[in-house]
Amino acid sequence: MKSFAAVLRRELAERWLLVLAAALLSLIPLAVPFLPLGISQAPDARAGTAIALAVIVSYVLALVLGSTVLARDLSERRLGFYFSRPLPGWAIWAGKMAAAALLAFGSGVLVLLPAMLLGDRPDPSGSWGWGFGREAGSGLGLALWAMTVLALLLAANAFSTMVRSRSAWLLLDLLAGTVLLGLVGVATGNLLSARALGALAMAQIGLLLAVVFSFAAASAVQVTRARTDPRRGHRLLSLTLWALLGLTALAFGGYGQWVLAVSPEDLVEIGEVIPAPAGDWIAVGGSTGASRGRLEPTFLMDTSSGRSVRIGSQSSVWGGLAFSRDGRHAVWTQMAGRGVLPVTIHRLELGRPGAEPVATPVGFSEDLPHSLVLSPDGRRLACISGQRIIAQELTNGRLLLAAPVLPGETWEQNRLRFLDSRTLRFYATRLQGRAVSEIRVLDFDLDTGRTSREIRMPGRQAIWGISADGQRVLLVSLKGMGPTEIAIADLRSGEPLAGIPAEGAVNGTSFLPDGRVMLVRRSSPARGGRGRIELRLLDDRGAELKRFDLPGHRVRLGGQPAPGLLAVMTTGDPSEKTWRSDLLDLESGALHPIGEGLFPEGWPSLAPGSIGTQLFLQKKGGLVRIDPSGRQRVILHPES
Amino acid sequence: MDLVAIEELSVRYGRRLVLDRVSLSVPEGSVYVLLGRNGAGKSSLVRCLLGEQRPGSGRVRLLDGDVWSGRAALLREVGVVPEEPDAPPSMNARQLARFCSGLYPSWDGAGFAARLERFGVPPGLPFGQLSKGQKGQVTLSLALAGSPRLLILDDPTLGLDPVARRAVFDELIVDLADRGTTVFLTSHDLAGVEGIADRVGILRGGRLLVDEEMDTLKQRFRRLRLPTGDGEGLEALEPVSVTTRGWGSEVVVAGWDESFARDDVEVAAMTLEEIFLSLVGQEGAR
Amino acid sequence: MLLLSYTHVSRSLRIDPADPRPIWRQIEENVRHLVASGALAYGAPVPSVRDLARDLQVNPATVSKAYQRLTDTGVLTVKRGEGTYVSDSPPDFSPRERGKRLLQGAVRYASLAVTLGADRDETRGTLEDAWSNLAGGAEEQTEEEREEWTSSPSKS
Repeated sequence: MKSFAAVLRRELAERWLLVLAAALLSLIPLAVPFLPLGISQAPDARAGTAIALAVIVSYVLALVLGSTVLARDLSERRLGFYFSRPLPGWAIWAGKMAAAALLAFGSGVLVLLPAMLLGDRPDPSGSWGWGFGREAGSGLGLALWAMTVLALLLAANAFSTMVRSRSAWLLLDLLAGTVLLGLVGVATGNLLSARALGALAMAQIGLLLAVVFSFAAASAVQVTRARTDPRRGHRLLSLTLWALLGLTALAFGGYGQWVLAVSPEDLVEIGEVIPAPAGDWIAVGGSTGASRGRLEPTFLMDTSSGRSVRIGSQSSVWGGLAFSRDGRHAVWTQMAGRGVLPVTIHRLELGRPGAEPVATPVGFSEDLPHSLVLSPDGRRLACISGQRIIAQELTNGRLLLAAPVLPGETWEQNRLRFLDSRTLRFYATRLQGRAVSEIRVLDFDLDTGRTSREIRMPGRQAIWGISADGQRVLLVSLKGMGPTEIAIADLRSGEPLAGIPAEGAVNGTSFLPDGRVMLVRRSSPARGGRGRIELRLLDDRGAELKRFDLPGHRVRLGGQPAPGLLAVMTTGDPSEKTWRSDLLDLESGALHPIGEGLFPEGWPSLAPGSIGTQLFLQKKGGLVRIDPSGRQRVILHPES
Repeated sequence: MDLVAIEELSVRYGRRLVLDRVSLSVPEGSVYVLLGRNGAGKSSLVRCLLGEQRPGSGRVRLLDGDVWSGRAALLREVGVVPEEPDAPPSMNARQLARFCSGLYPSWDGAGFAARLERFGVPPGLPFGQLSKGQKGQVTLSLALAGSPRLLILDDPTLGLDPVARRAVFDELIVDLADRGTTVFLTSHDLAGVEGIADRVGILRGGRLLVDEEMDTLKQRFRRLRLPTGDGEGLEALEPVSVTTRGWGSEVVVAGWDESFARDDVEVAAMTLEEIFLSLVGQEGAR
Repeated sequence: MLLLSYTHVSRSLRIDPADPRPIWRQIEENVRHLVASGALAYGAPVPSVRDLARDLQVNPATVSKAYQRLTDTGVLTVKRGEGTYVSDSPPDFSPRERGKRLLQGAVRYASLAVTLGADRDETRGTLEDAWSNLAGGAEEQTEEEREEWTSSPSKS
């Protein structure tokens, strides 16, 4: 320590003029408000000038001192002054480096000091604010600044040593530097294109730290092991530096790969689950933990085999994923470049074991597609992109349809459905102002590209449900606070089949797969009470078949894990923290409890027994499948 | 005890062998002078000796310690005068002394000041503004002020004028007399070291040609002048070089034996410089 | 005067690098010669090891070795705390030792004379000549050198 202090003191003493110069420079910001400069009248002109000057001074000094303090002494063989004296190598290295760092950073701070003492602070919204951002005044900003000074200093020292030694190792340095930069670039690119921004930020801070450490360690090894020999010094510096940086780059690349190689098991939180209409596949998305870069990956997963395929990393994928009706095909959007756009449609044959995702010729570069639907044969894709309904052949990208969505909407709710592989149906709810409203249903013949049918249903109403065959819709009148009217309309005739008096507010309604209609009402709470939940089962013409009272005051309906048994989750807890889950026998109205807080991932219109109807999210986050016998199997078990 | 013990030291720069299995030792109290032309490996040897350079193979011990690993601690008792007098140009002698005084356990500040005065070096003048001779004198004074057990001098009189050179040797001799300091010295100044060397080493092309007592070295070297064709029995005297002249030949022998004395042979003793040149100078002019 | 005496001694003791004899032996023999010739009077101080080493530019250990041998053989005397002096009396060999040494030298000289074919008179005459040369020659030399020295401005 004594030796270190001796070297440090000496190195500082030799350059004390720098401190004087910094002190003089610190007066410049004070003069700025009196100078005829454009910026000089800004409220934070003084602070801004001080910061800019301080940063420039410290960086320039870091570069200059870094390239001279050790490297020049070594190449001019002046290190012997220290090495011929009883000073340990580490003390010589540390003393010199510490002196250079102190001088570079200290001069910067000194330049800053008078302005700061006068109470100047950078104003992020002021004239200078754009240049510094929020960190400017904070401890983090200070730490980053110091870190950068250190990094510049060490890097300048290393490069200067390499160049000054004039040995053939310089070629290796260039090569290694290029390779490593390339490696880091590729790894960064991978993380960027996977939108792993959290991981990237973490990895980059780690990278900076590791790079600073590598440079410092290499330089220390050079001084303590090669001492005054410049060639051996360069060799040791290069070997240590590139070994450490190589490890760093590998670690960085490895971290990137590891982050990107997530599987559904790595999710610490399951965000959303989309079941295929048939078969065992689901799409599941969620987020990974902080240690895994806070990714938001999405997977296609075969719940029976556990096989999974990562298909994207953004929640935007939810607008852009579709299964075919038979559950044998899936398509989704995937970013093709660094940005959100363009996207390419990828597909996976779910029915073929071992199939890999393939990019289709279909892509979108101007507007993200949404409302994706896949034809029953899995060969045609329809979606809405921008203000157009687009249908394309997935195999060759041939455009089948590009029709404008209805013009002039101020609010819309559009849906697409393939009636068969040739016919695409477009359901649109149009609202215009307070007065005009209409529902329009258009059929497109994809072989001819023409509109084959158009149905208009005027009146202020919206589509709340579409039957499994796409031919009937549930219409809900929108009359403000008044009693809700629900109607079932047949699209073949275009006429309402039946009106259903709802006697109060309707909380939800849905077709069941067999054509019956489910209606949920929450009766108005009596004074002090919390109301009741009433479930009505109607036939396909709206006639009431059954009426069930459910416990509690809130309900969430699932699908039918087994035909005739509907998953319901209810709570009577005022704070709504505890929920109970049951299977409701649609014949008898009996409730068969299946557990606490099991959140049904399906919905009533799903085909009974399909994968979606049997999936439940546990309260603690696990995804389980409950088969008709009541047996629970854990699909995913996130550990948060 | 040997304050310097070098065993089988080899140093390589790339494919070039700079030191080839050099062994030598310097007992306490003696003065070892290592001679060699530029590039003979002297500086590499000194750097190995100071722990600045790692030996390719072999062992280098200083004050009975391993110098590579124990450099800093061992150097507390070693005074070093490097080949180029180096100190930060802005520091004056006083500041240099202050810097060094904390590093050596028995720093002799008064002795340092007295020496500077003897040398006539202004203590307040920055090192960079001193003449080359003065720089050397400051460096030597610093080395001696640490009261070293061992002095290592790498060509301390290189480039000095005769007066400065004389002053350096004066100071050295005084220290030898007062403290019996052990000295390891490399030099070009053969006349200067002739008197003070106990033992001489001569390096040529990385190999130690000679490593022996000064006295025995001078005993065995002679220059002989023989009439032409009279070389009988000469082989036994280990001839080093033979120069043919008009009158006969001049032979330098390394194994002189008094019994060879003959009327027709003129025998001349040789100075260290002559011996050195006869051993090293045959490679041609530098 | 004292300084003059010292420098005089140093000059007289000049080391010849080309002399094959070891330096300590050169010093030793030169001192003997100076004492024998009277250039160094009995009881006169001789330079200290340190001063002589500096003047001759030789290792003090070498001077010390020469002084040691001179002291051992009685040429010089060390007065503790004061310095080294030429002994007050000639080296005190025992009569027997002295006789033996003289005889050894005589035999060496006689055998050389016989080898060279000199007769008894020539041999005796040469011995006489050498005797007188030894004393006178030394005196001349010192005279010469003293002058050379005092006229030289390089050191005073």
